[in-house]
Order: sequence, then structure tokens, then C-alpha cells
Amino acid sequence: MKSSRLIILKSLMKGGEIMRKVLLVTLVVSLLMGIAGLAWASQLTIGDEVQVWKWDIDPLTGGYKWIPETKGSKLANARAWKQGDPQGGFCNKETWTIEVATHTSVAQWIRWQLNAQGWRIYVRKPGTYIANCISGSIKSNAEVRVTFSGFDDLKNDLGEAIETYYSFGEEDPSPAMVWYPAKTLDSETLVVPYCEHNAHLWIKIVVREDPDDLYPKTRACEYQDDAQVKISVTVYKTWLDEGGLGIFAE
Amino acid sequence: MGIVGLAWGSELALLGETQVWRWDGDSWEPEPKGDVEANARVWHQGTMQGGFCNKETWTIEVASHASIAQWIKWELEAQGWNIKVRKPGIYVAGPIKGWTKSNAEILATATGFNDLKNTSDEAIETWYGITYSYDPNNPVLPTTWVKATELPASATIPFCYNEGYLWIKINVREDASGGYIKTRACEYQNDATIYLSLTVIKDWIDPETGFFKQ
Repeated sequence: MKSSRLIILKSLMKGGEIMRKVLLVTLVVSLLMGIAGLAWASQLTIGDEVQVWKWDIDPLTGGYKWIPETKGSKLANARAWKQGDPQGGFCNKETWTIEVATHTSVAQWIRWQLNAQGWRIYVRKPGTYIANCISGSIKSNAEVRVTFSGFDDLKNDLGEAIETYYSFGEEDPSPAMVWYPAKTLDSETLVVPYCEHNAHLWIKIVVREDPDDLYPKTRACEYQDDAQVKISVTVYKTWLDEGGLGIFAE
Repeated sequence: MGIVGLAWGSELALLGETQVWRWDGDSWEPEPKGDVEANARVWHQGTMQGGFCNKETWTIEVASHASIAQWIKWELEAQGWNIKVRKPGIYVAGPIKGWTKSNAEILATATGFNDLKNTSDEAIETWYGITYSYDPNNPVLPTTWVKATELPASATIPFCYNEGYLWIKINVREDASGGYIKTRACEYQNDATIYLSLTVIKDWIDPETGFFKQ
């Protein structure tokens, strides 16, 4: 009984392996076919640039109309070229087959907003404080990479620090908020998924009455930290300028 | 009468193939006799006629017959568009000119037309339009757009010279709407095929090559 179960199990495993191989081969073939399709179109010769119009608001009337994009301009929102060779014929064959192909390359765009560049905090007495949020939004048609540089504790001219944290949370504070020490932010990379995201940034500072945890008592002084947040596209198009301005390369 | 006449003509036996010349505008150029690629070929038809007697009147039935195959002369100045989009919006790309000329109606059929799609099958809403003239200095865009997914499977192009300007319209979305998702940064494509077919078929023409069968 046991041996027959073992044989069934082995044959099932063998069957599963064959199925896996079939699936793998199917996947590879479909992938190759997909690539072949795309390669075919991209191999078409690019012809003359054609005029492009955008459906947009007419500044004169306030109504929508077809507004011509500036043909040949690096600053155009979209440009189009004819592709493929001229096709034609003249004879009596029963049917002409004309292969047509249209291709669109959509670059990544990012629409973003941050309602302030930082906080200006005035503290009269020691304590742990959080400051009301700065709201930000990111919208894109692909993932957006957010990196940080220069983030650190707020410091005075002497290099004395106020322990500083940041958090990305809801509009209202909650005890469950996760706080990132400012000096660790530079090593963080956030990937914002494809769609619209609203973020609420919070800052927390510990203004000390007494020294602890390697921080001195917070001296009455001015403290500051200047840093940078970089919001980057993750999908690159070779036809955009290398300088990263987001305009056509040529 | 016409039909009877033609039927009568086709009933005559074909005799030997004879030489044909074509007027090239300046001179008569001989067509290659017996060649399937010739533009025209001619055979003498009927039987040899003759007589030798004293009757008052001889009546000689003569018949010439021409079978004209349908030809199509056509041109499409490109095979499609290559569109690069930086920002979302609804865009129209300048037209591709095409023309056909034939001596009978042409049957145009299309397969494979669809929205432009990426490898994940996400679509850009796509339309096509046509105008029958185009002045680059004063362009008039199509007023009617047909969705790529709803293009008619076939159309008949009338017997004469027909010139058209094909336009494409795409909606690169900033937000999902109308059953389409937000347009992801990606490559999108549609490969399609147009067939231009004769409507008048001659059994002496090779349908593949358009040459004489033999």
C-alpha cells in the first residue's frame, strides 16, 4: 500500500516537473514573441516629424480646442514622426497586404507638491515636541524614487545637536507613528508606487533639560538643518535630454 | 445584346499569340510576348475566314474582345506613427497621406487595429480619423473620430482616384477614467494589417503575383 502511494506521489512529482517545463517553455516563447513584435516596430525607419496637436484650454476663449505643439521643439509635450517606408504598388494581384504599425513611447512624469520647505520652531521650555505636518503629494505614471541627503539633527554653530526625528504619517498625530532619526534618513530610499499618494511629514525634536543619550542639555541658541529631498523617475527614456531637464534631447 | 455579344466573342477559338506594343509616350515599345509579366498579351481568335466564288456579297463575322483586369495603384507615405509623449493629455498627430486609384471598386479590409498597448496589455485609448485634404499652413483636423477598437472591418473604395489623410488621436491619461487606467510610463504599440483587394477577378490572372497565370 505504502509503495503504491509512493509510486503515485513520484508520478505526480514527475508530472508536475513536466508541467513546469511546459509552462517555462510557453513563458519563454511568449516573451520572445512579445519582444519580436516590439523589435519589429522599433526597426522601422523614422520618417519626417509631423505636427502634433494637444486638446487643451485656449487662453483666449477659455474653451478647449486643439492647440498645436511646437513642432521640432525640445520643450514640446509630445512629438510624432511617421515611421516605416512609403508603401505602394501598381499591378493586378488580387490583394495587397499592408503592414501598419504605430508606436507610442510615454515618458514618466511626476506631479508633486509640498506645502512648505520646513518648519520654524520656537521653543520656550524643554520637552519633546512634534510639529504639525507638512503635506506633500506625489502623482506619477510610474514608480517614483525618493532619496534624502543632508538630513541630520538640528545643530547650532558649535555642532551641538537637538535630537530630531521625522515621520510620514496621517494628518493627525497618533502614538503609533514610526519616527525615523534624522541622521538615518540619508540611508533611506522610498519607492512611491504608481498612482497618487498624499504624505504628511512630521518632525519631532527633543529639547533637553538635562544631558542624556549622548546629547547635551539644549542650549538656548539657533539650530538648523539644511537638507535635500530628491524625487526621481524610475523609467528613463533615451529620447529625453541627458541633463535630466525632462525635455526632448534633440 | 451586349452579354450575348461578349459570350459570342469568348466562344471563339484562340489562335496563336501575337505581338503587342505599348505606347510609352514617345514610341511603341514591344511587350515581351509570351511573358507572364507582360502588361498586355493578344491572341488572334476565331477561325481562318476565306472564300473564292461569284456570290454577290460575302458576310464576314468579325469579333474582337478585350478582357481588362482590375489594377490598383496605391501609395501610403508611411506605415504608422512613432509618438513620444512627455506629459499626459489628448494628442493628435499629423496625417499620413494615402491614395488609391483603380479601374474598379477596391475592397479595403483591416485586421489587428486596436488601442496602443504595452506588454502588460494596458491600453492607451486610440482613435483614427480621416480628412480628404490637408493644408499644412491651415490644417483642419478631423471632426469625426472612430475608436481603434471600433473601426469597421471593411470598406469599399470607389472606382476613381481617392486621396485621404489618416490621423491618429491618443488619450494619455493623468488619471484613470472611461474604463482606461492612468497611462503608465512605458512603450505602447499596435501592429495591424490593411488589405486592399480587387473586386473584379479575372481567372487568367495569378492572384498572388498579379501576373498572367501562364
